[in-house]
Amino acid sequence: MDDFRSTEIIFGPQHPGIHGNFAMRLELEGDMVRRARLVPGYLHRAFEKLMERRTWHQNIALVPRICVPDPDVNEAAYSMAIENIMGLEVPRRGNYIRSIVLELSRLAAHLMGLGGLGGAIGLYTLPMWTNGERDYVLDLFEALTGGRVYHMYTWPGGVRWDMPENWPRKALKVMDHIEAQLPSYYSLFFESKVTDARLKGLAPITTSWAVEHGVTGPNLRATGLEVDLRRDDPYAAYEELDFDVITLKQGDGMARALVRWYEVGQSIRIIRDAIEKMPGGPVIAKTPPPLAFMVPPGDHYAHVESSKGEYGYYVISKGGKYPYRVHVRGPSFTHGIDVLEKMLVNQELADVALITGGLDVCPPDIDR
Amino acid sequence: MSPGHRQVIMMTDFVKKTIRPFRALRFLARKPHTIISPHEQHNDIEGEPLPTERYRGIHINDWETCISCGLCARICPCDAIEMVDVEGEQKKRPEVSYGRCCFCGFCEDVCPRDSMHLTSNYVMIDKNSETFTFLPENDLKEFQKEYIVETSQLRYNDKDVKKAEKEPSAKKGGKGKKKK
Amino acid sequence: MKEDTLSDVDTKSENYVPGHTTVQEALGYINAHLPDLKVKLLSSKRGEILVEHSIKGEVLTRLKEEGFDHFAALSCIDMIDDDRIQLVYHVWSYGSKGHILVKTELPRKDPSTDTVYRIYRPAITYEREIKEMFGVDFPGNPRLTQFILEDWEGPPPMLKDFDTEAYAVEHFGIARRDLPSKPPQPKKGGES
Repeated sequence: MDDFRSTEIIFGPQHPGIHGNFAMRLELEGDMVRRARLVPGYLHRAFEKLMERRTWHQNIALVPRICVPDPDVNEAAYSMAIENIMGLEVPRRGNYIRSIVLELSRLAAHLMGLGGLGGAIGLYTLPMWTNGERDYVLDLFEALTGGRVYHMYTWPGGVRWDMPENWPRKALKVMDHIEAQLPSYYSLFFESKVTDARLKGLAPITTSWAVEHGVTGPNLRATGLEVDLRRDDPYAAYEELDFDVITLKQGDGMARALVRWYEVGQSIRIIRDAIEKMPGGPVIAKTPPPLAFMVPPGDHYAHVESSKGEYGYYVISKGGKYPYRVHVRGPSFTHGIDVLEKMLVNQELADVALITGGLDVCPPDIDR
Repeated sequence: MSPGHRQVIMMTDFVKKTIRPFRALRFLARKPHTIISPHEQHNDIEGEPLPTERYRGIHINDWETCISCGLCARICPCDAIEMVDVEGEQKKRPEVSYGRCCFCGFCEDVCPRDSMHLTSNYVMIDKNSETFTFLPENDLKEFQKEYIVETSQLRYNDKDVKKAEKEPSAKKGGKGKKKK
Repeated sequence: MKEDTLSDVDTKSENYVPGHTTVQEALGYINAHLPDLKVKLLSSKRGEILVEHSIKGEVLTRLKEEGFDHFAALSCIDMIDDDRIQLVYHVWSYGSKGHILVKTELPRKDPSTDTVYRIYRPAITYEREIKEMFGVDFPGNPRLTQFILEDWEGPPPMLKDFDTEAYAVEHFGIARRDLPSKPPQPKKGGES
């Protein structure tokens, strides 16, 4: 009889509740998930292999595509690894602009992530609002970088262009606008009874379990450990910028969502601070032209704090115009496979999409 | 708990449950984020029209300054640019395939004579896929004018539509505007 | 700003105490216990250890005891010129904010090394990917099942001698194009 007690269902990649392009094979007993197996690979584009056959600069057009909602961390981490191998010093203004771009990207990603979470509990107003606000951030990106989603703006040695003159004013205006919207998101989403019932106590994890399983970023901070690569291993201009590391101790779905909500506020604070402290000078170090760009032999692992967790680029150069190998460590590589498989066990089927969305799993960086 | 206290709690509960939902009514007055393209113009937060000057769209290339060095073809990460022979021209000219182009703008960055530019035009409409591979020129060529729609041209109101329907010979394209 | 509304949820957090051994101390400790290893301090926050693959488990266990408990990544590099495959274990300490790269080398022919997933749990997925993409075997890992490549019959595709273009021409009938920028051609026949 045991054979008939469990049902296997395939959840995704076409399911509206799935968080991106991957599938789950869930073994259910009634409504409870007893075993989950993640099936990635729907988005595998062999970026690491492609990068071996493109020049250092051509790869800048390739790497942002690894993570769609938060593309700038890729360019930044890749450029930082190259700069470290070459011993290039980025001008201060370049670093400040990089920080602003990275924070705008985090802001956009968190707004999108929160919206996705709202969609997962059936609160469709929130995604409409957050994506509407995200559009203003995309407008800022367009005015600064020339691209809306993929910016290809961070460059080994700095950033490609300086800011337009009226851009800081516009950025501050957008920040004011988004900050004014944050309380309404709070009262819409976090004060809702449905959110309370669905997210509170959902799949709680402890700090030691999270560290053991390689959970990073906002999900780890939601368990109470105060870690943030922006502060622990400062890159760009974060050493000189003023921000708090948000931690909550509950480690459940609500804490994971709240950390993201608070981090939106912190990103706004960082952007304002960076615009205020913006130094003058060049934005890019003097580097050889892109077609004659050579990187001496060496290797470096550069990591940045993305909206989803630790993003790392391990770049190996053997000298010459092409990288020898680039290994991309995406946060979802651990969150999306092993951690999720464990967290989904003994949860209800209805909560599967919510847990996945709460972890902010981004399948493109599992597949690459 | 004193009866007075309970009453206060009931009152706040009443306010929370009954009055607050009405605060949502103010969103009725809020304008939607979506715009009715192309009848409405997409503006940024300060009301300035988008796309901005920096937007990376369809290429233009000044043939007088272009020295046909081929650097744009070499840097292109997508292999979208090819140097081709042109009838009546001694030099080879870059030909861009928009099926491949990722609009990174590296060709513009690497151009030693500053002849290659990406305009903020991005609307190109045709059924024939071959139209999307062409030689960018400084002035958009006659045949391109048919397919590349100047983004400003898209911003017409209903009156203009009716007018255009009445006069089918209305000018379709516009002159490619320079970025810098 | 509103107060955190979660205060009534009881916290289940166990006490997690990050270790505070710095990179320099950890390298010294490793060197004292296993003197044959090549250790290198790259900067105050970065160190490198070169180990034989048979004792990497021991080294990683010691590093974890010293507080390097975040397993950031496991990178695999095909060093085709030296006829070997390099594995790089990246570990990070939340306490001392240091990063240590443990590098180990395997022969290129039938590479195989013990799994480290019992020491660092996240390695289970990294090893699964490397098994598929580089053909490195990790005895002891229970999840070495098909990961990304479905119905794949060719050689491990991330190896340097795998010619992507030839594979595409053969399987999908895509014509070769002369690329304006000539990328490095993969070597034919990795045995040299």
